[in-house]
Amino acid sequence: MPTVPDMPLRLAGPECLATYATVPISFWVRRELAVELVDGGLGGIRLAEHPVEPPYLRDYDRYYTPMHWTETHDLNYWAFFLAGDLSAPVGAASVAYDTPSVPLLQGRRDVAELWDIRVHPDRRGQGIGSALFAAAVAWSRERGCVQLRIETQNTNVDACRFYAHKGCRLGAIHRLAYPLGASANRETMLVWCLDL
Amino acid sequence: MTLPKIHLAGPECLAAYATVPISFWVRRELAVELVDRGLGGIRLVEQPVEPPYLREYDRDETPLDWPGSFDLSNWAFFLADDPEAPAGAAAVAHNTPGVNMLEGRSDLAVLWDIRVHPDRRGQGVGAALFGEAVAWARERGCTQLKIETQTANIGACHFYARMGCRLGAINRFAYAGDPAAAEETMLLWYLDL
Repeated sequence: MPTVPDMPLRLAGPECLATYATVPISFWVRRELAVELVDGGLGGIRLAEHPVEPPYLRDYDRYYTPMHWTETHDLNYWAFFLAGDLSAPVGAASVAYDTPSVPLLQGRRDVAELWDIRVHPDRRGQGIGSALFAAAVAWSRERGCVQLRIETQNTNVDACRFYAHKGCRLGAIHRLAYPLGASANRETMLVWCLDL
Repeated sequence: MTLPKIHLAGPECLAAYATVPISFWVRRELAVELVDRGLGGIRLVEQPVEPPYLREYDRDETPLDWPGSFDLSNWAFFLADDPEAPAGAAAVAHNTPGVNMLEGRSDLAVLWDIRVHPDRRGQGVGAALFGEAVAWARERGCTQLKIETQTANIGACHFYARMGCRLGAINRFAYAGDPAAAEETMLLWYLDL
C-alpha cells in the first residue's frame, strides 16, 4: 500500500457537507457477493463472489447525498473528516455517534457507525481510505466506543474486502433489509464490526 | 392424532395464553462461524450444548406485559383446544406503530410468539397454530410473515424451515446491549404468503 505523504486530514463539523459532497462515491459493480441459503438457512448464509454482467455504476448519492443527512439526523455528535485540500477534498469520511435515529447504534453510547467513507476515483488505491478509516477509529475510541459498525452491501465487494482487511468481522447479513424498488436485483445488507 | 381446534381471540385472552409455558431445554445450538472473516458468509453448524440449560423467554417479558407495551388492536391471538386451559398459543402483530419488527410495512405481519405446552409438543399443535396465523395474515393482505428467533432455539428453526420459511437475516450483535442474551445470535425467518 503506497503511503500518503503530506495528506492532511481535518476534522470538521456539518458545515463542511457541501464540500464533502463534491467527492464522488460511485463505483462500478463488476463483481458481487452472491447470497446463497444453505439448507433453507439452517446451515447459514453463504457469500460467493461472482462476476456481474453487464457491469453497472452504483451511486449511493443518487437519491440521498451528504446534503440530505442533516434533514434526517441530528448531526451534533457526528464527526466529519476531509482529506487533502479543505476546499476540494480527495476523500472524506463521517462517523455517527449518540444519535437515536441511527438504527445500527441501537441507542447505545458505546458504539459508533462509520456512516460514510469515499475517495475520489482518481485517487483510489493510494491509502487515503486507510487514513480516513484510522481517523474514524481513533475518534470513536476517544469517545469510549467499544465497537465501530459499518453498513455496506453485497454489491460493494471492494468495500467488504477493505473492511475485512482493516480487522472488521461480519456482524450481520440481512437479505430483506432494503425494499425491492425498481431493480429486480435486491441488494443484501452486510454489517461489519470492528471491536475497538 | 386428532387435529387441535384453534380459537381466534382478542387481548382479553392473555391471562389464559400466559399459562402455556414457552421455556425449553437448550441441548443443541447453531454455532455461528464466519467464513473468511465474513467474506464467505456466516455458517450455522448444529452442536451439542454442555451442560444443557433452560431458556425462558417469559422471564423478561410475559404475554401479560404486551398490553402495556403495545397497542394490540391489530394483533391476533390463537389458542389451541381449550381456550380456558390452552394446549398452545400464538400471537400475530400487524400495523402497529412502535413495533420495529414490522418495519413500518402494512404488507408485513410478525409471528410475535408461538408456544406449545411441553406435554403437547410434537403433536401438530404448533403447525395448526402456524397455519391459522398464516391464514389470518393473508386475509389482512400481508405478503410476508416474519419471525424472530435465536441460534439457541434449534427446535424453532427446524419448525420454521419445515413450514416453508427461509432465513432472511443473521445478526450477531442484535442483543449486544442485553446482558441476558448478549451471546445469542438473532435469526429472522420469512415466509412469502
